[in-house]
Amino acid sequence: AAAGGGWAAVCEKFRTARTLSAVESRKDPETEPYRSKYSARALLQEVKQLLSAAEEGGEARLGGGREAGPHRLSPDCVSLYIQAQNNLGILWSERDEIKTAQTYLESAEALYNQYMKEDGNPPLDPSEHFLAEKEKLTDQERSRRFEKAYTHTLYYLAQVYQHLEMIEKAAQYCHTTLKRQLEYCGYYPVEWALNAATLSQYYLSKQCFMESRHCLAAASVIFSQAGQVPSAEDNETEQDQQDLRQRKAEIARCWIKYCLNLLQSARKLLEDNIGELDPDRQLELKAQRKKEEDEKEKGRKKAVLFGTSDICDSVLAMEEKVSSVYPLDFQEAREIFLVGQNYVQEAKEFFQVDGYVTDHIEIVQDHSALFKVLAFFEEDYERRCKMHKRRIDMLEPIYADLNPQYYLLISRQLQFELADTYYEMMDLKVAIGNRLEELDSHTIKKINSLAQLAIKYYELFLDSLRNPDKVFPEELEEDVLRPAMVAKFHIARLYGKLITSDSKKQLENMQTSLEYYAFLVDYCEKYPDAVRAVETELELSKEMVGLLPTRMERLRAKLCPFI
Amino acid sequence: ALPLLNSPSVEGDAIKVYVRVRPPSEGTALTDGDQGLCLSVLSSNTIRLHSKPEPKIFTFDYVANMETTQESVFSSVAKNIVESCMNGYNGTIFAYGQTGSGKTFTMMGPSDSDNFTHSLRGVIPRSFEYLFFLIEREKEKAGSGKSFLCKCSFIEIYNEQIFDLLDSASAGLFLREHIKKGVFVDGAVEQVLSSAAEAYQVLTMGWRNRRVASTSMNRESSRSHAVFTITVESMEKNNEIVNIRSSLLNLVDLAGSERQKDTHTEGLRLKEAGNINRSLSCLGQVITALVDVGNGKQRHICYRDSKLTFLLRDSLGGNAKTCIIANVHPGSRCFGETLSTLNFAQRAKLIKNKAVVNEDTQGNVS
Repeated sequence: AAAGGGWAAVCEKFRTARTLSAVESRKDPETEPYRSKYSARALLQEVKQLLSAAEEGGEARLGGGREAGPHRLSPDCVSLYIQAQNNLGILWSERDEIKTAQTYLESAEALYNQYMKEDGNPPLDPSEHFLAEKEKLTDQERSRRFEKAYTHTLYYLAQVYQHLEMIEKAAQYCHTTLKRQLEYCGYYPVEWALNAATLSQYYLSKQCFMESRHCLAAASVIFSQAGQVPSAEDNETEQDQQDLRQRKAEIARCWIKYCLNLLQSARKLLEDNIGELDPDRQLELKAQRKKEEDEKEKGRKKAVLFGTSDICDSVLAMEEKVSSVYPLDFQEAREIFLVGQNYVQEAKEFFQVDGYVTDHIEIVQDHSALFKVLAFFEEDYERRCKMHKRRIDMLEPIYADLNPQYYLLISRQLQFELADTYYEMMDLKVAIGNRLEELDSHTIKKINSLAQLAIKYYELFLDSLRNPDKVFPEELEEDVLRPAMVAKFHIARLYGKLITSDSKKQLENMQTSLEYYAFLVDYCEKYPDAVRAVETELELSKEMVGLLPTRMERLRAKLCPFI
Repeated sequence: ALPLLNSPSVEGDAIKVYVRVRPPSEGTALTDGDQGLCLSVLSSNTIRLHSKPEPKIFTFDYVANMETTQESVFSSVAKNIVESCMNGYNGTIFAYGQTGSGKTFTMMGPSDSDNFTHSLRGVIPRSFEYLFFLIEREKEKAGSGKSFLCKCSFIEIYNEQIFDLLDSASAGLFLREHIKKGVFVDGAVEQVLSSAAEAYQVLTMGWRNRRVASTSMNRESSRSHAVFTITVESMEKNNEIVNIRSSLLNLVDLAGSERQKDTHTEGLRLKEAGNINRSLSCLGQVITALVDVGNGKQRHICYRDSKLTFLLRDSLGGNAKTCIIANVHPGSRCFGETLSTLNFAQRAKLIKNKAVVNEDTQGNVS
């Protein structure tokens, strides 16, 4: 009887301690921030003392601690057990023993699964041990708390795997955590949507387009809830609105990357050894896809799907809007391109150049990349050239405005991309010209001017590597080594392509070309480490360094036949 | 073969890392157990940490021992950066370390002195003096052809919010970018400076505001970053051509490193989901880390860098000169924090804005 009265006191103290810790402590004055926590601690210590006394008296009501072992799977203990293991996981990770943390958390996970398989009824919440009979929780509330504890287990495991660099597993646990947040309504729409959108980018890196699309579609659907649900205080400031718009634009940017990656990966599959579309490969892949479509739905079941019924329907409807299989011809590529382009517009609405320079330019660069990869699928050279012109038109004005003192990196990227685009256009014009009987003066002019512009931007890029005294570095830094060498190599080729009827001018161009080829050869001789970065270019340069002098000799002989 | 020499520009771009060991407060060395010190300075660029079982040796650009004077720290750390600033480079000096390791002393000087001429004044006041000395010298050399304009701003980043220390009434400010001017704090007060004394006045005024805010608004100064920025603009007239140069000098007092919960410095600890509804808000960080590992460029990560890294983005690599002063306390009780500070400093040497150039490696060769 004495023990029974003692138990009531224990429960009372425990409840008071909890209230102090969770509720009162938030009202503590600044000068004594932990006042309530201290009082709670004192009460809990009393409880502990009372309990150990009771245990010695053989009246242990609580199966906690050592005693819990055999009862792990009982509805009375399972939740306590899981939560204790969660806490042990945290504790060990704080001691930097992540492996130990892992074993506790994995054991919690296994316990949950076993319990759900063998029993599955909503188990007692640990706090209920200290509640009077009439205060016991409903089954619904029990289940909610139990599931939440397990969600935490998964969330901690995601972190453990990330720390252990088990990336795939970590991603899988993040994915499941997100899924459970959705199922048990434990999420904020904006935050959830951003997490899902970010996760989609992980899948992109693994080329899992179906999963990536699913995450993005779910992100878009859940994000659209954010606008509908009024925020807690319902006095949304201008800043909150601004934030919301930014988040929306961020998700759009993830979609852009999705479209871009899908197109680029398809290109990789389809191109031949000179970077053109390989029609045999195209037929082969189309046949293969046909076969796969017949046994469809198979892959779908493997992925973890987000949401229940109506959310799931909306997500699937969202997915319908863009394919997740590789586009194999221009028509299919164009559809993905257009989706990507729409998201470019959406993202630009928020990330305007005034205020968001870096973001804005990154989006424009993506837009340019979308055009570039679309051009690969275009068979008509004239139209392909126009697509590249579109890239020039979007990049050139931005580059002209940009201050390289603050945006050196982006500035270099733009220089290189502009140079490359002009280079590509020049190649296309040469190919178009080769189909003609004879090059007309208009085409020649066009080819020369494109080549000059490509040279101009490559030179600007190379100049950006110079130090303040305008000296070109003796040894190139690793991160600019390859681009710088490629720039030199392309300039060499461009001088070789310039068309002129003036033989003296032609000789000069050959001389310049030779100098640039020689740069590559000399540099790699001096810094053999560089060879790896430019193997093909180096080989061709060596060849040209061997050939050009003879050609120039012949030309000279023609110029002055009497010497 | 000739030995390969690093060209100056290659060598000059890397971030320089200096370590400064403060002396323990009087009396602590005696009570702190065996010898009380967890490290020893071996030479002017190496330091040994008495870790067990094996001691660890770290190498930096410069290691200042307990006897090193403020003047000597200034000449080996900041002088160079102020000079490059005059040559049109942006420069940044960070102080990093746990609370009580001597960051503020290094950057500002003794806390109780408002005296500009105090012999213990720190890097910031000395940088002012040197900067204006160089400006005066330059003006004398160039005559009326060259003029200078210096402006400064002083902001504090606390809890990812930006406050203007030169205008205590201002509410939170925002970072924006301008295509010509780079990153800036929208609405921050810019004060024109004409002398070192004036600069020092502005600095102490802002510093006072920081202290006031930290008590009245419950901001902990050890949790906030303070960024003092000087813009130096020079205009040179050569016949009809006008040459304008502009550069920034950022002097940064970082929050105590032990509070940097959101950086990668914290090791393996798990982020705990609170008991309140919200919970799991760090999941995003885990996911971001997963995407980071992919290290490709065709991805977008929704979570932005912190305000501080965004503001100082140009300072990490690229065309800026940057140095980090890692402050450590030698007491053995500080072993853990000292180790993590030294580890951070070691990693900092590798920080660079990688100049990724989108370059197609396929095709188009022949």
